[in-house]
Amino acid sequence: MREEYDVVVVGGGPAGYVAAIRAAREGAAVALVERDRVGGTCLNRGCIPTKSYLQTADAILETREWPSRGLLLDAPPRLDMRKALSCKDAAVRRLTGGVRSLLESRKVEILQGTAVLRGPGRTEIEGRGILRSRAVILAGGSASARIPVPGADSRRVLLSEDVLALDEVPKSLVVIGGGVIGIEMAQILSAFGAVVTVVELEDGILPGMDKGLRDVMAVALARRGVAILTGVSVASFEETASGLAVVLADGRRLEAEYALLSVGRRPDLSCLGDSGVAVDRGRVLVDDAMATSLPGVFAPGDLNGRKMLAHAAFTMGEAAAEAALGRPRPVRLDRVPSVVYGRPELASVGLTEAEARASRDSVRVGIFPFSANGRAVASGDTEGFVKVLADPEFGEILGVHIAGTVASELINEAAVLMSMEVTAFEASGTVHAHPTRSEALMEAAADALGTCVHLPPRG
Amino acid sequence: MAQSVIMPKSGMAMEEGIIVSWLKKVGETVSPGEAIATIETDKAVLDLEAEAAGTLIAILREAGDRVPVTQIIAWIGKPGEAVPESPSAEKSQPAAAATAPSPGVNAGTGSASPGGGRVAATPAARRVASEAGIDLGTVPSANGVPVAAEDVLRYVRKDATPLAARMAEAAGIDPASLAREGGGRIRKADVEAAAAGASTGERLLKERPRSGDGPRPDSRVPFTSIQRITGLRLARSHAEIPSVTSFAQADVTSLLAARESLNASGGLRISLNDLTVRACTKALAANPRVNAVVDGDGLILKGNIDIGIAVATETGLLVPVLRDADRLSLPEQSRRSRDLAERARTRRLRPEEFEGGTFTVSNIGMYGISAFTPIINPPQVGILGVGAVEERLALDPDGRPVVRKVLNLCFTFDHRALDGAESSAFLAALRDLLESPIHLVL
Repeated sequence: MREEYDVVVVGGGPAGYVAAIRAAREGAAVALVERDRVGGTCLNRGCIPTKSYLQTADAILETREWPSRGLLLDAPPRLDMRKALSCKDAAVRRLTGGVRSLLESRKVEILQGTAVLRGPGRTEIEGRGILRSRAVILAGGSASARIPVPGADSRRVLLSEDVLALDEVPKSLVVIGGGVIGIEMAQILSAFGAVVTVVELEDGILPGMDKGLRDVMAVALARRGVAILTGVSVASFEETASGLAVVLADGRRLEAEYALLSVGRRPDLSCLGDSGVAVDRGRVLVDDAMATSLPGVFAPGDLNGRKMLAHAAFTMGEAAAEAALGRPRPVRLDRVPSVVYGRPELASVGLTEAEARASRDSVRVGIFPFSANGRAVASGDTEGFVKVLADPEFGEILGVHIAGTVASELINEAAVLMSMEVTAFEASGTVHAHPTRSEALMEAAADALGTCVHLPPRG
Repeated sequence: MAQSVIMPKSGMAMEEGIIVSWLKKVGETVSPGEAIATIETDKAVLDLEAEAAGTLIAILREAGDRVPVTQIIAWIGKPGEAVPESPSAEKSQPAAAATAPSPGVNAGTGSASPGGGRVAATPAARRVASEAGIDLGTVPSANGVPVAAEDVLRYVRKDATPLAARMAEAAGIDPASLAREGGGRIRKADVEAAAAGASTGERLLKERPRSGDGPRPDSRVPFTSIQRITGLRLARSHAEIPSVTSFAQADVTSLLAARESLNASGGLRISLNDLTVRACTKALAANPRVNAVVDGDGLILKGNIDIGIAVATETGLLVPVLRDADRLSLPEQSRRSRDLAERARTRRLRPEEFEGGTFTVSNIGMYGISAFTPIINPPQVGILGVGAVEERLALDPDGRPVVRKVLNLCFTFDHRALDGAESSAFLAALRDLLESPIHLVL
């Protein structure tokens, strides 16, 4: 540990470790302070471990389709939860180890401890003294939010990180909050054999996403026996002899072994200390180049609450490093795709149909269902569609929404098209390999223009 | 088998041409070298000559059509022969060769290595890149395909995204004229900013007609392609060449008298500029370092004396070249200069008539301007600016005041190529020639 660095980064998650590597690549002397294991929520308790479980869940669900393809299984597959857990942990270890060696390869000094900002250029590591630096990048991330209702501190009320640590599948689970995390967890545990109920305060699950995608997921969950209660809040939790009762505001009681509290994430402001960094509604205020109200202090990632996604944090982290080295540039987050994993996958980039219609007089909506896509039909997996929203005047692609298998991969083509300002005209005229699911994007772009070959004329 | 006729690519910057008129009708026979259509490019109007003998069996694009280069516009074949539906591989080859000149040549000259080193590029692309002062390595091109001249030009002009191009077209804005958000391609935001500016201007124009003291709208006039290309060259010349301009005054009283008697003798229309160019050819012959081009760290002393003559046209400055100027008789030189200037103004010059001058003369005397400092036309080493003829009082040998006619000569030269003594020797020789018409005619 030195006395002075060019850049001190607080937090080793997607925003922090990318910022550290970016700054080190420019020749800066960089220290990164991490209180746990590098990789942040994404690698340790979020995106990556859930993807490991979702792959297992998907395999279980797929075997249910096998008989229709003539593939017979004498007994349904049984889950060895301990093995699933260690398989997930191995993936996490491998990726966090990778991040650590990347940081080391760039000569970033990784300091173990809890850091607090004491002022511009002054970061204190608890029990180890003050680090001085020309710039400080705060990447403190976020934590699972809690709700202030009686009984919420029960040991049977879990957060998403607690569920990921279970070595036994619960018999039943009430998921409080039908957002991205709640819906992914509901799918995992339902496929693993738990009886799952989702409780959502808004009028439907996945609020904020395009209506078409929300509906596809609601239908898919219902078909698998996941109950969804909407427009209702939780009044209290009561421990019972067999587990837990979730009491809803309308008086209904839901009995389950556990409840999962997935009501969103809150910026973790503990790294701010008494430094006086300006905060607005629980989020650190930053400009488009990630600068905070204090000179030489930057705050990329979940801490500023602009877009709580790992890949948004990557790009914010890079920008923060550049700003810290004196080359600020604005970050654009309006073409960052978002994904809900599961079966089917949901993926979006740009405006939702409702947002697009609110923003202009007319919008052209092109839809291509996977039931008309050769690859999907041959695979026997025709759930979902691709929706392309285009501006009628120039064919500008305003938003793309995909429901279906590998939507998470297909959406990246849409993100490229939009960030390169390719219009529906070129997108629909680009030859796509046949048969592939990607063709559906091309066809939906054509449908938006009314030139789709593989759909009958519209009524 | 039918032969295609394509829109020719007659200059490295040419991307499309307009068919002015068809000189042959369908069914008429054509022979190689015979003009079959008139084509207009942004620089010139050309005759399109048939390359094959036969009958014109189909005309695919009408007069007035704007056609990208190398696209098929007609077919020549036997009478009654069917028109091929699409070009066969064999027939489309000349077109491909015209767009991306000879990857074969490149394979011979360049050792394109993947991890850096020499970039695979066509010779034309290298020339354009070097003229524009850009590193070929920065020009985007498809993997493994040599960078073509068009790629470089597109890069220099900062191409627009498809959306920005559509928006600009609808708004009547030339994308190449736009400022870019953070460099790179022209994007939607750039066009929106430009369009917003224009509409603000229009609104103000309506609200405040002519009189009044409010803000008056600006308007943007995009450069023509000639202005863009000339501008690029001039900027580079001005920035890179350590140039010096020297001035001299030539007493042209007797030269003007001689010109008058020459023209009076019938038929001739010799201009003062013709005589100035003639004087240049003789002064250049005597000072070979001025009739030269810069080549890396050396000079190439040119054998021929080819004088570029700057001509102002509606679409920009053009410099047609008078070849072998020193070998022409004065009447022939005068006739050819007039013909070149006239065709430059009507854009009927052939591409080769712009290229390869060894020295340039720019005359703005007709506007009554005394003197100016012209900019060298690289890779040449000098340019002569000619001002107006002015009257001066002088004393004759007997001490009586007389009126003399004086011409201002402004010689800008590349100080790397010429030192003060060399440049002065040339300018003095030029002045002496103009002052003694006898030597000029000899």
